[in-house]
Amino acid sequence: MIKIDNVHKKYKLTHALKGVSLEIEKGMYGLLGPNGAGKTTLMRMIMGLNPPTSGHVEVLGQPISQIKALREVVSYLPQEYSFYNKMTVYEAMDYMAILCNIKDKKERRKKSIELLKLVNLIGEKHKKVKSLSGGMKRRLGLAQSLIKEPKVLIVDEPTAGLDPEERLRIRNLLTNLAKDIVVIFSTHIVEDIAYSCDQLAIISEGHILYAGKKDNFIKQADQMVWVDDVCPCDVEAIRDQYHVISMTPNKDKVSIRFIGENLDRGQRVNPTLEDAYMSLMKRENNDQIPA
Amino acid sequence: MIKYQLKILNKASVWLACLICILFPFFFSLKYLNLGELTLYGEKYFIIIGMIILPDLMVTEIELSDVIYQTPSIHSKTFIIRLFIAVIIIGVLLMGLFLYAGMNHSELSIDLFIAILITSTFVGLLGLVMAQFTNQASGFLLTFSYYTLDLMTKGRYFSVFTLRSFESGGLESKMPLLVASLSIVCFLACYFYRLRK
Repeated sequence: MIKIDNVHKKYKLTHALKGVSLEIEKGMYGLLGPNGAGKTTLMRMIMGLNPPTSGHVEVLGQPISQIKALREVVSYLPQEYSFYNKMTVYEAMDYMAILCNIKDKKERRKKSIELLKLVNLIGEKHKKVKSLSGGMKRRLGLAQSLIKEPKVLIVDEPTAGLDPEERLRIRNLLTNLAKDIVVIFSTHIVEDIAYSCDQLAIISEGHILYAGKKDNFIKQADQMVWVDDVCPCDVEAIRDQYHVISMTPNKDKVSIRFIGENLDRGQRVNPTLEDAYMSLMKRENNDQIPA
Repeated sequence: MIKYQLKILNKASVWLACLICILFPFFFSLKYLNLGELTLYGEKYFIIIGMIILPDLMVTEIELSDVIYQTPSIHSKTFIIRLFIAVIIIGVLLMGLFLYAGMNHSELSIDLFIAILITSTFVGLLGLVMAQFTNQASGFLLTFSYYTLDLMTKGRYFSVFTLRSFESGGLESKMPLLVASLSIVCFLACYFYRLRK
């Protein structure tokens, strides 16, 4: 449904995307990478808001240069979502529906109410946008993104800065939507991808490091993740030697989870998505250190 | 659409312009003015209304660009409607000042009203273009710099684009400003249209 072929994006001082190629099918697709990896550039490119310097992007068989057709079927919820603060939630929905060329007032009303119910904001429909919490604003943004019934929905860091309950709510909403459409979920929070996506791409410094099934990606870290209970005084030494993923105090010891190969200490455990991601990032960083 | 444009225009700059109009008679007498005196007030002070209202007309959309400009709407249409409403607001505020002057036995002229509306819109539109391509502050800075320079040099460097030409040239002297204003509107309409393409 979405084909990205050898795409480059150069700004004055930075080379944000360096030969990115991806194929994205229906369902939930995770785009994972550290801050500044090029995720937002890629998302805005798919939306046609930011044309590539070179390469080809196709959405539903149409090149992104066909902006008019593209805007009818693709929606984008930006990371820094905001709307006219003085409007109420309902007015924000109604105005967005007008901008999406829905002329019939009854249809606009029906759609707005339906979508506000879907995102659980119907109780807040008379509240001003400026009085909504961060999570509520994102849900409003999500409802607005759905007004034009998109076939592709791009959401950029929708859970950043939200409390766990709100994060879960947004994740569940997106998972439900992904049954019928393509949802591209960009985030730097590994847990969000782990619980909601089957397919993912890892992006770092403008390169795609991995693209494919989540399970296959996790398998790449098989035999590499270890846990060990160590004395607090040994923690620094282990940190210097291995890539430590987490440390949990455990009575008078510290339980350490770390990445390594063929070790004679600790116990090998099954990797999680976070382990696989950290392991990949570690390999990537090591590759970049000159010999 | 009009309802929402009115809502979007409910902003500090518009209320400031209203406040200036309300307070104006407290600082300057509008009683028993002849046409020359009213022209002086109009071209010197009344035109400030447009300079306050227009430069930040489309500034909110710059912050919301990724949300607004991804819609299939024709954004130039939104711009034209909002500008039209803003010019009506400027006209109503000017009309208020004129009516107040008229009630206080000042000499009125419809030509002068139109001339001041054109001048006010022109100088405001200059700020709007600047704000659209740089930022809000630059927009206001350009508008007020143009106004101050024109005032201080008595229009020496602005030729037919001087803001104070009614007394010597009548309504016809405002034609270059009208043509320039329409050109700016066309340019901005094309710009907003291209945002969608």
